[in-house]
Amino acid sequence: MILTRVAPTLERREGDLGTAAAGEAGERFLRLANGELDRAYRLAGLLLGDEHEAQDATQDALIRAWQSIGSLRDPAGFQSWFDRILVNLCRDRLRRRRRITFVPIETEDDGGGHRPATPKATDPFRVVLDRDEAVRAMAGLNPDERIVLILHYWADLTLDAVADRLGWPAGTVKTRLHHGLDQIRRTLASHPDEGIR
Amino acid sequence: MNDNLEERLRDELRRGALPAAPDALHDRLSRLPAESHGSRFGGLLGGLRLAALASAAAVAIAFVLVVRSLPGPSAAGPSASLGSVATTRPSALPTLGPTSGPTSGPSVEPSSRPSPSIAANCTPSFVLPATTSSVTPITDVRVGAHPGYDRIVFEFAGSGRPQLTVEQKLGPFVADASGQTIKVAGNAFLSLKLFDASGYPTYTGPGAFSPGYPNLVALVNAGDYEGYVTWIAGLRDINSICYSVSTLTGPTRIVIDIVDPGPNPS
Repeated sequence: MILTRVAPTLERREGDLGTAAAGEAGERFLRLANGELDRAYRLAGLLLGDEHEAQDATQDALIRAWQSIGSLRDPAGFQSWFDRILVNLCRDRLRRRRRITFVPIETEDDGGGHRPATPKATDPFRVVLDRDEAVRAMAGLNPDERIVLILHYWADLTLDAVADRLGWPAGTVKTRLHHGLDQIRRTLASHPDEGIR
Repeated sequence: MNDNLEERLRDELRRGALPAAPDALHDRLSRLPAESHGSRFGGLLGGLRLAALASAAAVAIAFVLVVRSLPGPSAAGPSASLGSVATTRPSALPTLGPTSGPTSGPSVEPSSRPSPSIAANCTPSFVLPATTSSVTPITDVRVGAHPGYDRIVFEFAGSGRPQLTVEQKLGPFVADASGQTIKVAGNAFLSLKLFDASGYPTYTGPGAFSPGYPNLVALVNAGDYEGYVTWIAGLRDINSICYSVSTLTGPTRIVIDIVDPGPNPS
């Protein structure tokens, strides 16, 4: 009878959480997450193009990962497992704003020949994402295409590895990569001075 | 196309050093395992989690009070655990007797009928706690129509069951992993989220049902991701958002009955 089971079950779960917090799972999680933290933050930064959002997304991913650490079957798969959580959170953020609007650093010139030292101009991720026309064109891609390109070209994952990491079919990943590249080519073609090098 | 765009993207994305994670992130990480469960989730997420836990506790207490006050048997047999909860409209409590309405479809759980008199939950959300901390494989999902209620059954391998969170939701719905928009028939919706569970590779049945029952119009899978398995139930209308949650063993099942709340007292 659940009449006598619901409340005790709740109490038991609270106790389990308290035990887990001080236990081996916590130490293991710290060890694994510490090893991935820099990379995860950089991945989030390149996906989101904003250091503050990257910090928020990475923190959210850490919290979510800690909540569901019990679902990690193999510690050797932590990076892939954590990437999936992080990328999913970043994708949610990208969808909410639909598209990153990068203001090229050059346009932030105050007219006097020097750039104002605004936080946006010095965001390290924006510096990377703004300095080349082809990379800058990635801002116009939809979130899924952008994710595939970053994981493939920056994280150096094969397309099969990207598919495995995201839980998407390999064909979907390939399609998104090709659509993304085509979109960038079209963008570059509309700016003949930049063009494909 | 034979150009060097791919090489260009690879080179440009990797040119120069990207920053390391700020100290604040390292600090936050270092505190996570040491924090008590009450604060470990942190921020808005933590608030929502705690609210859900508190809500579940309150619902459990209300459930005990209501069911204790109900006349007659409160469970069908030794293998049935009735988890239904208090209604927000006590005067509209349905009586789910065998003669309360016509049978409009096949019964999927004919031998596991819960109590003939149950309290329907018309509240926006309900949490059925898990009985295991392991990932629970889902082996079957099915629907059926019964007199006065339509039934959704999740069946699991093993004896443990995952947490079930039932929430009223508004569309549109998006699949967890693919991000694809999901169309769900109906005029009101319940999100049924199982955690920690997975249907891969144990569940090979359909990802969508369109039974068109009196109360349950559709049931569509909205994701199997990171231990969260979500199904969206499309209901006939807003008045059918009253449900009971019960559990069964041998095999382990969670049963959600979408009940006919009867005429609105107002």
